[in-house]
Amino acid sequence: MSSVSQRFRVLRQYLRRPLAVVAAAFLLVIIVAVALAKVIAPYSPLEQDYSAVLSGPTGAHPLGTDQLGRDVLSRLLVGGQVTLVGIAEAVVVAVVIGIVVGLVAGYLGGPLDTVLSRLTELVMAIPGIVVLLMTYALTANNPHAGMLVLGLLSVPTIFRVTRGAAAAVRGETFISASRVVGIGRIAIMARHVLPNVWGPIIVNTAVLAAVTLGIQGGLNYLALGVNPPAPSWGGMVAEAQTALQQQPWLMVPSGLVIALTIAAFLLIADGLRDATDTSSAQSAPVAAPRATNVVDEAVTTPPEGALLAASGLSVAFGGTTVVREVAFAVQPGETVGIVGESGSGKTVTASAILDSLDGSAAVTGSVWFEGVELLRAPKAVRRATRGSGIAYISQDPMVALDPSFTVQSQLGELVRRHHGLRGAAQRARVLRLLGQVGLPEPGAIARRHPHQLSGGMAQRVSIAMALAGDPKVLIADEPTTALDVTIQGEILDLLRRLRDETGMGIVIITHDLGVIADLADRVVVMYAGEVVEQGAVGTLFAEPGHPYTRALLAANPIASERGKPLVSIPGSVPRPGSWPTGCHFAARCPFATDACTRAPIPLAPVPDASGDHASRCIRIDAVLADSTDRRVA
Amino acid sequence: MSAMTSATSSESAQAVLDVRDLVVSYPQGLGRPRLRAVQGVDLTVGRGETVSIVGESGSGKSTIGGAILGLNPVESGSIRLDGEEIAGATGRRRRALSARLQAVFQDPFSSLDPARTIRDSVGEPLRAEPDLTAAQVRERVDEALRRVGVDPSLADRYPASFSGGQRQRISIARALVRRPELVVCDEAVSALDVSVQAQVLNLLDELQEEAGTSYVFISHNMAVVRHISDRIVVLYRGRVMEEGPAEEVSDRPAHPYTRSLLAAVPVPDVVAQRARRAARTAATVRTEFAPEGGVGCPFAPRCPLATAACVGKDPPLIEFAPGRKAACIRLDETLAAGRQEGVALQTLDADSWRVAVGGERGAPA
Amino acid sequence: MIKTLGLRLLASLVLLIAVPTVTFWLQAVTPGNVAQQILGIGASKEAVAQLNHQLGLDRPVWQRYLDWLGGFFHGDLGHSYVTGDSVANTLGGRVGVSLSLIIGALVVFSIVGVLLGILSTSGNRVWGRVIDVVSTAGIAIPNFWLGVLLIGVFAVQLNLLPATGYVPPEQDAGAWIASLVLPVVALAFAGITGVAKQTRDQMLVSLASPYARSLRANGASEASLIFRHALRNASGPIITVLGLIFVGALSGSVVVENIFVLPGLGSQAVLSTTQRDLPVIQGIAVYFTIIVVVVNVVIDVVNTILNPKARTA
Repeated sequence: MSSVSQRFRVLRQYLRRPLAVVAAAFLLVIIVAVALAKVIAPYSPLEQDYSAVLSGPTGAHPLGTDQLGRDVLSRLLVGGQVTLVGIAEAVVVAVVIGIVVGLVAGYLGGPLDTVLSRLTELVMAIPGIVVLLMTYALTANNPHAGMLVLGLLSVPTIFRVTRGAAAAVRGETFISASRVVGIGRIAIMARHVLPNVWGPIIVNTAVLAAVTLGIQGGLNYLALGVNPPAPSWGGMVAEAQTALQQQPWLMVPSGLVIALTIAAFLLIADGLRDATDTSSAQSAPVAAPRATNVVDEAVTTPPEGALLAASGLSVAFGGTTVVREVAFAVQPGETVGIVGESGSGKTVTASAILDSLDGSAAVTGSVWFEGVELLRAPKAVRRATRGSGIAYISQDPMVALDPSFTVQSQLGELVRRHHGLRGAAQRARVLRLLGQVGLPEPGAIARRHPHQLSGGMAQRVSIAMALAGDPKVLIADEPTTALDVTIQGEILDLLRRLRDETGMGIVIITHDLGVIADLADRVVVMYAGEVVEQGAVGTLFAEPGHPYTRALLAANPIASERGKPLVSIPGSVPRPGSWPTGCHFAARCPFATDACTRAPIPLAPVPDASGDHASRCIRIDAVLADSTDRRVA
Repeated sequence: MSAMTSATSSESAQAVLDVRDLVVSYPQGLGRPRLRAVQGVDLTVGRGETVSIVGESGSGKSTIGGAILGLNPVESGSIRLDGEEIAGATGRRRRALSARLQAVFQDPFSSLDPARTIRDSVGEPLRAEPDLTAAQVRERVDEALRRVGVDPSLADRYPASFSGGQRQRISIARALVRRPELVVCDEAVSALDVSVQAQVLNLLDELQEEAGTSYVFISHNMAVVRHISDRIVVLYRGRVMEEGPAEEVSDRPAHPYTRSLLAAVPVPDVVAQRARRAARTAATVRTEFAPEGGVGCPFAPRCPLATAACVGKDPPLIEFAPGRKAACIRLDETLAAGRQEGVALQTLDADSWRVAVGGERGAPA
Repeated sequence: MIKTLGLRLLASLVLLIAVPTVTFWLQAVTPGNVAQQILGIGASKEAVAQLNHQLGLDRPVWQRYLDWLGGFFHGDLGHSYVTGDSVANTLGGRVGVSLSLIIGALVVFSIVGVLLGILSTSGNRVWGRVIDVVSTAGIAIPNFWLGVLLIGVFAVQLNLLPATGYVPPEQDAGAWIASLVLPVVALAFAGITGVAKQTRDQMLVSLASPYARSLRANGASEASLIFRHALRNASGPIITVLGLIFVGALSGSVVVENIFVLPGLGSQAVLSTTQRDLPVIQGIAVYFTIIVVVVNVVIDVVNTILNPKARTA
């Protein structure tokens, strides 16, 4: 993405939302019309025509006349000036002060932040309407004074948003990088903090404009901040009210223009919010995962006796395939390791098996659990397997547990769900589960909340939650990555022990080949959305049958030769959407030939002693020969 | 990892970095005692040398890096860069120091400002050299990018256009644009895939060969540390547990904590890993000993060799062999045990393993 | 936990004194001669000076503040410039009316808003868009315009409910409620949509979080995820928003009371503004501050109970 297009990315994102564009156009029209009011208004706002009093819309008066025969359209246009100028005054005051103070408080933190935050709380506790009334009382209804005060009273809104965003940016690494280089605090705030916080600020500014218009309208309605007979939008609603019975139409233009302008500001705010959203999840968060859109294909039968099996499993998002034709099987008591780096598709594969992809995913292929095909099964069947058939533990234990409930409460809920236990029996089962995962004081742990647990303890609790339903298969997604290495070993030992005790199958997803060697019986290696090799763990390490597996092992610093460069793989992983036609690894492969790039490579059995070794490589003979040559030499 | 062989102690040609008795603590709120993240750590880095600080979470390793870089306040102790005291330096002094001291951080996705082009980011350290013309700045940025293998024509793009590995290279370019003597790498490769990690480590190595830069390499990954360091310092709960030449510490660890760290690393070899499991389990136990009032060995609660004497007073850091130090009063036992149990990563039959995976770049014969 | 709440209570007491102090000083130092404003432009210099002296406005500001503060601690809020009546008397009878309106609105927009928000969560995407549109409309429609429209439709056209006026509950409970229906709707309308949107947003965030994913994968029912986990985790932010909307409703009540001619604090405030009767306005500031502070304390207490992390903070 070039720099120019990046600068306009926000604009382009904004233009993608039709409502936001319409709203912006509407606002522009209003502003221009009001600005040119004195020029384009057909009549003077004070001109009274007694021959056309309280008339509805006519040719001469498109929006009708009020009880003094004054043209409504002209009054709206001229009245808009007071209104819009007032909003501008209030918003500018609030934004300028709010940003400066918010940046300082948010970035500098410490006692200054505390003082400013307390001051803000004080201002927010002031009943603003009363202060506004006082202002009008003391300044003889001066509109500018009122709007200035309203602006000051609105500073807290902008302050909080700025402060929050600035405080979040303060913790980012690039700020530390600038501090290390000696960039001063003010320079950092201007160069690094402000450009990264202006998104939420402009969104809230638009909302503030909307709210200010509403408040100002109400004040004008009460004849405050405006001196009749000068027109104002709010004032015109009051005038319309007095003629409510004779000419109800008058309520429409006055109120509608306020409502539509406020709505325009709010829609602009929504548009800006989406346009400046830099997080990876561009769309709104999705509630429950829907039934994934499964495209029907010829369903082949699963391997004999397999607890869990996948065949031809492919996942695509918005037309881009991210996982292609994955197949593997898990036998009872077996541990299958799925290993891959980022972009390999291993996590999406796990999500597909767990049925936790969101509705925009298109899934093809089949997943069987105990012989039952899951992807096309009715919701009830899929729900029934969750926890009691297939269970799940995730990478970061600290966020995998609900922070608002105690361990007893969360674990107890699953125990009740799967076994119908309540009361004392439920508590007993919870304690037993906690003991089963090796926690020394189950009673004490049960009473705690997740934030009171260490990483290792929390992961054990997560495992207990997964075991609550006596699952047959456990899917563990990078279960040790977020833990200290000395705790990692304990968790691996725990998983092994549980597997031996219960006979359950485990699918462990990881990037760490050491973990695979420790725990797995069989390995599935994934690269750029495909399975490139699978086989028994011993075979894979001793005689890797795919250049990528070899390269992955070789790049591992564990057996590096000190003094020599590490073996690295040149180039980088192709992203979904830019996968080459042939082998995905060909561009980086020392064995690649022309034939490798021409057509998709099938996963084929490797001719060796083990019998269940498969590799997606047409140069497999050369690869194996190379290893053999070296061994002999 | 470089041509440097001697000069590992402060008596030699003036060390680039000399840290003495560093103490860093954080306030914990009203009425609670300060949390001591670093308690009296010494560290010396020679010219062109790579010294790694290895530890787990709570060890204080990143805090030391932060203290050296001026990001964390120093409670007491000294940090000398080329003999000049820099602890607590801020503002203008930091700017001056950045000519000699730079950093590469962990997270490739937040270490570059997403709102600035990479030309801006890489060029930012040069703002401390106001005499440079715009053309000269441009030249230096291009050169730095070239050295790390990033095409300078991409310099006007934003970080979002680059992969994690490329961004880390760009961060390295930023660290090197002023040709510093010392670069603090705080978990610089921890967030990268293994294949990318290898590229970046090789790059750091090359750059060190070229320019004689010293590195303080902070990491939790013993395998990486073993590969790239000249010396290793093992940290636990803010204190140095062991220190020495990299190969010595990782192949013949003296301290029980170092042994538990090494034993816990799983190796990608099924037979070897199975053998290591017993050592791993034996390396960490639950004991009834714990330091009281901040006095005593911090590892005592988990140490298989712990005794009451271990928590009676702070175990002193003893130099039991030239250049080898350990803070353990039961050193004789641990050295004996280490020789027998084969805890080190080197228990992997590396030679045959390397052969099987085509160790020298896997090119066909 | 007690310590946290105790500190908040202390902070609230400070606010209770600080805010009226701020409003007092604001009006004391703002330029403008009050007596002049009351008597009008044509008044003679002597008449103005005499009125100033009568009202005690020629004394130094510090003295006036201390006098006021002293009175404040005794429950004496001064006397009206216009009627000479004690402010506390003038306002005392009106508090009940305002509270009926404001608390009525609070109940309506909280319950209806949260329910709508939850409903839209368990539904599908269409509901989400509906809520977005409705909530934009809800906030956009000015409460005074809505109030007049409601009167026009329900009171004038359909003759179902009274257009204006207030009936105290002890006099006729049914009529009391009838007199409050339209005002409460006018006041709560914007609030309902704001609450519904925030509820829905927070619940969706909760339902997409890692712990929801783990619970769902391990067998927790969808109902439990929505009503137990998501609701509980979203409740903190929802209640905070309720507080903010409530404070906004306080401002809105001033306008609504005027439209429906309810004899509450709000309508008195407007009247006193036109009359430049500052002690009464200051008295209203005190009452409003009390209401705001009490609501904030309640929110803090509820938040502390709901959020386990906040208990030790």
